[in-house]
Amino acid sequence: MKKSIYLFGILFSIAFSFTSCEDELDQLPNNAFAPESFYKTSQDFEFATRALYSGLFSGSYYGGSFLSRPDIVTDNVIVAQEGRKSNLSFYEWRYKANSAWNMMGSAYVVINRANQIIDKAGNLPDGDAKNNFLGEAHAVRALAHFDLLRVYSKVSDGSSLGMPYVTVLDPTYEAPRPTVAETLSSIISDLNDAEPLIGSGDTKSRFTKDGVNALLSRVHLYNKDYAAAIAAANKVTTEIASRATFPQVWTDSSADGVILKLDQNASIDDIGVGIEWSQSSSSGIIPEYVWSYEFASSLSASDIRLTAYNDNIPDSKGNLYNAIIKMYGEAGQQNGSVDAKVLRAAEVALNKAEAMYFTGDEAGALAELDKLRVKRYDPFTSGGETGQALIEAIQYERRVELAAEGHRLFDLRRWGLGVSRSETEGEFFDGTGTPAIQTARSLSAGDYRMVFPIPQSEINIYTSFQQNPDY
Amino acid sequence: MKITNYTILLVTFLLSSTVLIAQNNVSGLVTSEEGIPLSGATILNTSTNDAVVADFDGNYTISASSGDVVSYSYVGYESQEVKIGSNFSIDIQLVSSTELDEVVVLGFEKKTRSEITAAVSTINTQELTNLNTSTSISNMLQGKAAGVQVVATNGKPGSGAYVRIRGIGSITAGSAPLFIIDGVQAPGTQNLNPFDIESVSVLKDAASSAIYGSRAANGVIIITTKRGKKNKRATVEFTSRFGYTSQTEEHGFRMMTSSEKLQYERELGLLGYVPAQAQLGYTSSLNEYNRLAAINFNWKDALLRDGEVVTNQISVTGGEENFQYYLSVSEDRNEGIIDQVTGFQRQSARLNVDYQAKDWLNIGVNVSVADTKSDEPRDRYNLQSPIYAAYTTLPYETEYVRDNNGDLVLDENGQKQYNFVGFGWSITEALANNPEFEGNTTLLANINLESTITDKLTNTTNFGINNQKFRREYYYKPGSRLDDFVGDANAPGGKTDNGSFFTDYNISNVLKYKNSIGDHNFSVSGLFEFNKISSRTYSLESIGFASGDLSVQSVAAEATDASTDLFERTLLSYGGFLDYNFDGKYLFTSSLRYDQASVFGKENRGGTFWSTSAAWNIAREDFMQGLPFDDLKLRASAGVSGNQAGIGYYESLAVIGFGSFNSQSTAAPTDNGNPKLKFEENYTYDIGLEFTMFNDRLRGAIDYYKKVTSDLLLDRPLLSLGGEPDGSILSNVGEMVNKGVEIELDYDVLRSDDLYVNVSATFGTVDNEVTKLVPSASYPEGAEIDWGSGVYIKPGEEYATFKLVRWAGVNPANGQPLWYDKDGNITATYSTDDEVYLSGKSPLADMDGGLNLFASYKGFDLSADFYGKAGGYSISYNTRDILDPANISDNMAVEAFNYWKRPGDVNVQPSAQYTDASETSTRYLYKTDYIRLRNLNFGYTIPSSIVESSGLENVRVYLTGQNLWTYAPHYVGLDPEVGVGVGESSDGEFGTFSIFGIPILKSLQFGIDIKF
Repeated sequence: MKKSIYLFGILFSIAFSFTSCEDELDQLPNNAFAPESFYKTSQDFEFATRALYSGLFSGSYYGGSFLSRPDIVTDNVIVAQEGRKSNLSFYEWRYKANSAWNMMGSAYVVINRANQIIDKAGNLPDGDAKNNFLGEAHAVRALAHFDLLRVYSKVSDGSSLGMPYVTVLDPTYEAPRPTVAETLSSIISDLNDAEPLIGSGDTKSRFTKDGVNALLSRVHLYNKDYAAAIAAANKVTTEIASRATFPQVWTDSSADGVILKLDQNASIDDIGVGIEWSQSSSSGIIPEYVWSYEFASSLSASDIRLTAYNDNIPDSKGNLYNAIIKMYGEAGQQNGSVDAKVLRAAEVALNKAEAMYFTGDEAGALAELDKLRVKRYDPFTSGGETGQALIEAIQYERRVELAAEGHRLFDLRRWGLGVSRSETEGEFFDGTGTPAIQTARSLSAGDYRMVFPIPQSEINIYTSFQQNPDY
Repeated sequence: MKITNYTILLVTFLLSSTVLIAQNNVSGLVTSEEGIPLSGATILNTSTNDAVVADFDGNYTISASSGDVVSYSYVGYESQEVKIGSNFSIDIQLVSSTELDEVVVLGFEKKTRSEITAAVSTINTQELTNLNTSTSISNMLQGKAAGVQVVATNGKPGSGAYVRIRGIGSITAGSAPLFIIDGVQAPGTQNLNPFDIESVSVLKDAASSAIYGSRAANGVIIITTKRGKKNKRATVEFTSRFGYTSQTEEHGFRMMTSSEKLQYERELGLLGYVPAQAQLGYTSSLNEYNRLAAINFNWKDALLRDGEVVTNQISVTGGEENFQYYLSVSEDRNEGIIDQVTGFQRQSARLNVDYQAKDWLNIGVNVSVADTKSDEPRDRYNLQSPIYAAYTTLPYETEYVRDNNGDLVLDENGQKQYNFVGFGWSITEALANNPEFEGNTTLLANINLESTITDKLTNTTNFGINNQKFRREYYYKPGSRLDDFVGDANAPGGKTDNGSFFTDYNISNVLKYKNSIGDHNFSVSGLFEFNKISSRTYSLESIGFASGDLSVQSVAAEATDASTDLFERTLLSYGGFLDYNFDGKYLFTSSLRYDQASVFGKENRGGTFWSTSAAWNIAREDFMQGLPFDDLKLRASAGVSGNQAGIGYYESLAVIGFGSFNSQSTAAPTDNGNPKLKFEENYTYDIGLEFTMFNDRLRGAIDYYKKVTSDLLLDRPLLSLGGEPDGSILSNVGEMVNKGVEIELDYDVLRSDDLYVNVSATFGTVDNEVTKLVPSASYPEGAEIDWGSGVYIKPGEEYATFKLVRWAGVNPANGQPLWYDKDGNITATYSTDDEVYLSGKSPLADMDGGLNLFASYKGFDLSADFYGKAGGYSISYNTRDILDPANISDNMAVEAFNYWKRPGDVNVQPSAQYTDASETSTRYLYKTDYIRLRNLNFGYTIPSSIVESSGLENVRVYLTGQNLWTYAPHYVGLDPEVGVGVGESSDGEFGTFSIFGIPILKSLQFGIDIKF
């Protein structure tokens, strides 16, 4: 009996020693912080600000879809039958609410990151560093909203449905869509707040004063505030890339003329932006989309972009294409992992030229257009265009310069034009091949599909979120 | 008979002590009640501790004197004791234990079947080891227990299976049951040698599983490994099997030969189908056409093969009074069917020891190590998959480059050259140059201390550990085709090494008080349990390799990724159990357990789980005398258990995570968490009847159950405006109900001296309904969830119901494909707006069952296991791809020839020009009902007269075949048992679709079992 009590006692004490296990119930992650203990030092804000740019580089945004779909739905490119036929429903305008392009998730995540920085910036001491972080956060917030607006709204019609401008930190935030005019006004106000705060450094991988002003020139142009567009464009100091270095801009060996690009380490980050256009091996290309024959044959032999953007590469069967090599890869590479160019001096010049045209200053517009053309054509003599010919020249240069950079659809909309593709020209380099199918040859300017649909998954969550007309 | 010291001593004693005591040998025959000799029965003289074993004919001789007590025992039979009097010739007939006296392991305790009030199925080791032992344990459970539905993941050797006990228990939190091996939680069951298993108990209802609290909602499978037996001399058992494995037959289609394919291309090209006009069948000259038609290259032969399956296993077990042991070593190899892939290998060893250290202390130690290696083929839906390539590569392409005469064209080194087909790919080259390997070393160990404090009070402490080292290597060699496509031209080749170190350690302590007052028997237990899981992961990538022969990353030029991480979670529990019975006739059991887990939100740390059950052993009542029931038990149970498997390690917390961009660190919110997060709750009630009749010839059990799962973990989607990084907040919101019937039967059809025939069957039904999902203003019961791949989850429907556009056939007037719109009218326009819920059609089977036939005649024995399922549906994208004219640049099925040609044609494929004919619809949705001959085992036990002369005890030779025959009348595709559609994608629920995933394999092995 004594032995039993003795044993009992030992067992009980062993059992009680295990009660220290209660502390083990509080497990914290080993790879993350709680929000309350972050956003305190300058280094925290540096990390958080970098996350703004990495967020922009998501696959449905600048990491892929944003730099391809606005061209895929237009006349700049044609689908290659030998490819995987990715994005075909976009090329053929068959997208609907439940097969929509959803970049709302990526964009609003970036906006949330910017809001965190703006909200917590009070933890930093006043000064240039704090101002710069705030400036960058405001600028990125404005950029993301403007991109949302261009994708899902008819920006030229101020009374049509815009996109909610989110400045609060609330994961459950819900709001119906305001008008385009209201959204644009918030975007411009954010950029105007950013401009004095942000530094005027010359880094190309982060927003700077040049970046803010370049973006303002774009936003004001879309908003038809031509004087403001010209004023903002005049504040940009970056020069247009020279003809000689231009091809290297696209292999990331030069950043000439670039104001803001999303800079990746191709071997580590390996974000294959160019995979939207093609995949390649040493024996040939697997093309998804290539330059349309109409586009490629419009490039004159004296245009540097004929060789910087385009190359006749064969596929494994020996077919030659006008392949899109703007995002082919860094020098010597074929993996499509290149930096995403967001703002360039060439676009600023085109914004200014177009704005000047619409204020009636045709001579000024021509001079601005020639500043770009002289750096692209050799030999070059100005065409001296006026009137309709001038605006068409501006539109042509914009089409070529900014092809496959996420502009074409939005430009066509702004100019009130639709999309028209050839009935006879196919995907091979000489125009032979399979032309666009009958239902994918023309889209009128007023067609509801000129604006992308709001993803049905969003409306299912918040039924008061208005869908675009006719979807 | 071994000459041991003991025997010598005994003989000496005998010789020297004849004067002192009237010693004699007691001898006789030990048989069963029916007269079958029980060879191997143990006869123990409890007074002298001398033990002998009955020989093959049941005869024994043991030395004993008058007054000694001799006990006779044999597994599965009631032991008997005889006090020696003056009769020294004693024949004993042992009575077999009925099923209701079988000992069942319930996790923290063992009970005999007559004491159990819960729904528990048991499976014995023989049923498992009849199968090809490279199959994982989860796979082996198919058809063995009613209500346990098993679907193989795919046919890759060593791959596991989806096990579902009583339907789908959860939407996001996983429906896999908890596996416990000797008291330790053990996820990866392909690391356990099936020969080591003594028994498997499946705890199906809350009354049995609630003792595991917040981990038990999906049922618990308890695996107990073999132990040595007291006073049994060492027995060595050796098993060796050798055989081959190949693919099971396809269902409902045949691929074209090269002349058929060329003809098809030509026909369609002439009809004006543009993609056909780019094909060689249309563009070739007559000579070229004939040359290509003659090639008819057999891609299945080139890329697939019959793989070897080898098993070698040896075990030694025995014991004395105070010390028992079981030792085993085994090796399993299954090459699989893909050429150049070495398949799956497992080596394992185990030592289980029981030692009675003191009268009151018994120590049990189990240690096992298993090492598995698997050579992985790319299981992905594109040309990189050997299965996809075997079926769809054009039959007029060859594996290696050949000239127009069919001769090999060698390169400048005299080597064969790979023929790159399609958009420039050769599977043979890829398998050689892009190897992928996975390996896992598992250490399972536990120490069990059982102390008998008083004759009524016992304390059992168990320390257990499950330690797994997993590693994976993936290499694309420099200069390989894949390197060309994805590699860095300046740094060719790329290697990934990743893996994890996983440790699960567990401490449990049960203090049990057992007493009887008159006919009232009861026991009360208290439980304490602590469990900690820690997982360390690593991943390394480098590029820039000089040669394909060297793959270690130390030779690489540039390290491109390096990452490590650490995850930990804990569980702390207290519990109490009560068992009561009156005279073994009226039983009552109750349990209560309180679990606190680190993964639950701070506001909901703890959960309480209870169960109660009762049973009535009707056969023991007086009024049952004279009726043919040997045992009859009515039982009912109800209880609550939980499921925490769906909650990530730190999911309840808000976190700022770190990343890297352009080689610099970034930080951003990764989740806003949910402090209210808790386990899913399962309320189950069960009513069952168990019986044994006709002198133990018929045994069976019938159960009806209803399981209500609430607080389902679902991602409540958030509007993207809020910027929630993953777009949703994990919340406990949904509800689901499963109910069904289970039947198990076992009938000895014939029992005579020479011939024994037994039939046993299991059958279970599942009726599942989702009742609530994430509520919202427009959908108070919850909106539907698109689960991917055509299945949806919606309140009022079965989980994972197909929602598809309905196919209406082909218009006989013009060959156009037709569908039904959502109102049921026929339309020629395909639109996803016409998707409708196909109530009752889901990938999950409504019922499944197994049938086993066993017969033995003299030395021969034959066992056949059938398994079948009914009520499930699956989309066969394989079939779509091989019939779709848009894939004319690949090989197609001959059924594609049957396309619409002229008005009036019916039962045809649509005309090729209508590309939307292959849009997802019910056109490729097939019933997956099937019956499979899961195992056929035919053996012969060599007569003892021949065997004993070589010193052996028992030798059996046999042929064992797995998955030899499948009957699937409705399915068109590779195999109706669909797990993952393809290895490298996980979309929706398993079984939803099949696209050229690795098919189920059959195997045939010759084996020999030797016992001595």
